[in-house]
Parts: sequence; C-alpha cells; structure tokens
Amino acid sequence: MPRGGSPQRELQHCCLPGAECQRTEQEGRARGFKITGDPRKLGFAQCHRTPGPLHPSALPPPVPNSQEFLSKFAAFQGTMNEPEFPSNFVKPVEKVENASVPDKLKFNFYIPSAAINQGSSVDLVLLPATTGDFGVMPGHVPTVAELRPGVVSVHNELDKDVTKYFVSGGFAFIHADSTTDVCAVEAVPLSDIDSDAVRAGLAEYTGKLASLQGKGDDYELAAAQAGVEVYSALNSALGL
Amino acid sequence: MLRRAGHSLGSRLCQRQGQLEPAVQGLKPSFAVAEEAVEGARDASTLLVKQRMKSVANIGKITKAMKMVAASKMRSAQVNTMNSRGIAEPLLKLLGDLPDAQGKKNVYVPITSDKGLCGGINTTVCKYTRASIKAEDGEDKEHSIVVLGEKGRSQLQRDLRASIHSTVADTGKVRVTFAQAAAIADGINTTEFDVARLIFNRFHSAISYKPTIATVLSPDSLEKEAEAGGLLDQYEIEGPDRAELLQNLSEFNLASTLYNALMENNCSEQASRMAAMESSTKNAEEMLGKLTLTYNRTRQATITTELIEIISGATALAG
Repeated sequence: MPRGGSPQRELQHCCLPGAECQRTEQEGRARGFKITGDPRKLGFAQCHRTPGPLHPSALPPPVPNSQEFLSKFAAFQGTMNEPEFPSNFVKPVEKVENASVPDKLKFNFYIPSAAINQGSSVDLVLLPATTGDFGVMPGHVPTVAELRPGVVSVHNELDKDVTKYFVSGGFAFIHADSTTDVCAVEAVPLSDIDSDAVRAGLAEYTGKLASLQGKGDDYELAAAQAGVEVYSALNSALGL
Repeated sequence: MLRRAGHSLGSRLCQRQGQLEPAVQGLKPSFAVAEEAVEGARDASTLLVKQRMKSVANIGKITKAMKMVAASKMRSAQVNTMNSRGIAEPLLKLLGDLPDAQGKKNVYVPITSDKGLCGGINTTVCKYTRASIKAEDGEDKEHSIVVLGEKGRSQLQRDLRASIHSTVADTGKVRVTFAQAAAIADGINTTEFDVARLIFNRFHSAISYKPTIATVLSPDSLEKEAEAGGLLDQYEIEGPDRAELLQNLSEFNLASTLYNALMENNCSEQASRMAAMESSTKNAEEMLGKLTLTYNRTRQATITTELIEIISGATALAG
C-alpha cells in the first residue's frame, strides 16, 4: 500500500460526488493516505484517494462566524472531529450582481412535516400577514412578515392556476432575489376542510370566550381568543 | 452415534414409564439404570457448554430481531427527517448560523436517546457538550444544560450535575411532533438564555451521522447581531413592532431548529442501533461457532475415553 506524502498535506474527502467517506480524517491523520478499494465494487463509499483535483461539490462551504468557536473548541477537542454546523449543509446562494427582476417568483412553502412547494416558479402569492393581506410578485421589497391564521393563495399562473391553503400561522421571508420562503406551522388545502366542523368549532369557542369574560385565568382566556380567531378565519376562508 | 442416541432414548423412555407407573418403578431393568448413570456422567462436562450455546443462540436471535426493527424504523424516520429539514432552512439562511456569538447566559441542549443499545451516539453528544461548555466558559458567563433524553442525563449528571437545569424524557415515545418541539422550546425559554446551542447527531446515511452544533440566539442577541451588520437589517418588517416580531421569530427559530434536531437525532439513533445490533449478531454467531467446536471436541473426548475404558476392561477380562 503506498503511503501518503507528508503529514502536512490537506486531508480531503472522497472525490465521488455525493459520497460520504466515513473515516477520512481519522484514518488519514493516523496513517496517511491509503487506497482501500474501488468504491464502485465495494458498493459503499469508503475510499481514501491520494489527493488529486477535488470535485467541487466535495468541498464543504466555509462557515463564516465559526472560526473563533472552533479555535476555542480545539483546546478541548482531543481525538474528536470538529463539530459540524447546520450551515455546512446549506447550499450557498450564488450572488448575482445587478440582476434584473425575474419573471417568476421562486416559491418555497414549508411545514414541519413536509415541503409543500420547493423552488416552484409562481406568478403571485397572497399572504395573510398580521398587518393585513398582501401579495408578493417578482421584485417585491425584501420583507419579513409574521402570518396570522388565514389563506395563502398560490397563483402558479396569474388567476388561472390557483391553489389555496389555510395556514395556522408562521413567517414569510421575501428575499432580494425574489425568492419567497413561507414557513407555516400547519397548512391544509382549503378543499380538505369540513365546513360543519368549522361551524361547530366557531360556536364552541365563541361560547367559551363569552363564559370566560371577566373571570378565568389569562391562559384560558388567551386559548379561547386564539380559538375564536382561528375558527373565524376558517369561516371566512370557506365563505360561510 | 445413532446407536448411542437410541440407547439414551431407550433409557429415557424407561425412566418416563417408570414415572407413569409407580408400581413398576422398583422393577426397572438394570441396564436402564446403568445407562442413566453413564449418560449423566457424560453430560456433566458438556452441560455447561451446552447451556452457554443456548443462551448465545438466544442472544443472536434477539439482536437480529432488534436490528430488523431498527432498520424498518430508520426507513420511515429517514423520510420524515428529510421533510423536516425544510422548515429550519429559511430561518438559518435569514438569521445566519453564528456559532461565534457571545452571550452572558449560555444554555446547552444535548439531544440523546432514552433507550440504550444504540452504539456510541449518546456518548459522542455528551463529549461534544462537555467540550463546548469548557470552550465557551469564561468570566461572568453562566451556562446551564437542558438535557433531552435519559441517556444524556445519566452521563452528564456525573460531572455536570450542578449545571443541569432540566431534563426532558420520552420525547420519541409516541411520535415527534412540532407541538412537542414547541413545548420543549418554551421550557428552554424559561432559562432566559442569550445563546442556545443544540448538540445532536445529524443524519447523513445509514453509516454516517455527524455531531452538529446548531446555535439559536435570543431576541436581544439577534438585535445585537443585526446592528453589527447582519442580514436582518436589509428587510422590511411587516408585523407587530420590531421587538415583538424578533421575539416571535426567535421562538419560532428555536422550535423549528429543535424539531429538526429531534428528527435527525431519532433517525441517527435508529441507524446506529441497526449497526450495533448487526455487529452483535455477528459476534454471537462467531461465539456460537467456537462454542460448538468446543462442545463437539469435549463430547468426542468423553466418548473416546469411555471406549478406551471398555476395551481395556474387555481385554483385561479376555486375556
């Protein structure tokens, strides 16, 4: 087995795009470079190649604002690897200089359990912010908006292909390059909502709020108010 | 071999018959009694090995079953984990990942499992927690720990008992939901932290899970970073006044980051358990093979000794 060069050489990850090399740093530090086998034959990515031109996607993007932490951490690191940071795994956004306003909006719609839209190109998105409804089209000023329970309308094609979701709340971020991220806690298509259940729920929470007026602790009052707010929004969303 | 088995079967049948008909017990044929005595003597040396073999075989079966259960759980957890990454990412891009952020009150949230037999992931998280605490410790800085998972608690309480603010157990018992993450985030908020660091294992593949530190800032720290030239300044705020929005944003950030971290750690736990049980099963099979060889060797030695005795006795009688 050919031993690698001087220990000062940069330790590098496997050159295969998308492959995970499990023991690069440990093995590398302990023994230098070693060719352990053809990963295509082995069926899994465990290969240490002598350093060659790196595949660009194998390089981790540098995390700004972590150098101080890592240097402090190094004192207590021992045999551990460096910790990863979540931004290591986020694809860096390419900065486009002097870009013109794009035709369509790049729309991302996330809920905790799924990504409803990811990178979809849409014309218009109507968002229910706490300060009022507003629409987002390409070229919108960068905004951070808090959402209230209401309807998010996604116009894939202006007024032609519209999907409506009821969201319980969350945040919307509109970036300078016309990318819009909407993070909601819950989002359901309007067609999935049962109008009878909505009417019943509204009646229940209005009753609860009325009975708690003046008495009852703050938490129960707040819960009842939130219930009334959500059900009224559902009510108006369904047009009842 | 077969003849010997026949003999032992015969002797056992006689014994059973003797038990069923007590009247006949005293009249058991003498050869059967002799057979039993010989059988007992032969068994004694191999009995221990046989017991060991049985228990090792059982262990192998159990670990194999655990491996299959962990593999199926990991498959479904993987899908959910990939889906959960979406909600944490925009906040990360907007507010930035700031591991260098400094604050007076630091809270560390190591995320571990409740059940054991899952390899080294819990020890890894605890090691990184201890190292981070030592790294960030300094004058007029306070640190506290909110442990998620029983395994983390039992490890950290040995030397960091005074710093543990609270423990949360049974997070994955039914299912990890966003509501659960929000409730835990509320609990973490009671520490009134400036900087919160979540330490968990991020899932990459069935054999790769990397310890990751996610940093979440309180509204005040966010404001400080924004003034220092963060991204947040470039955005218009549509919402209640800036302070309230920052507060809601920070809480939402903590809840979604925590939700993602819980899902990732859960998936890593299942993958690690699968790997650990796989190696356990292999070890058990190996041990069983070795024990079988020992058993056979002992058994054959006893038979050979018996034969030698019989033959030498017969020769002595004849000659």
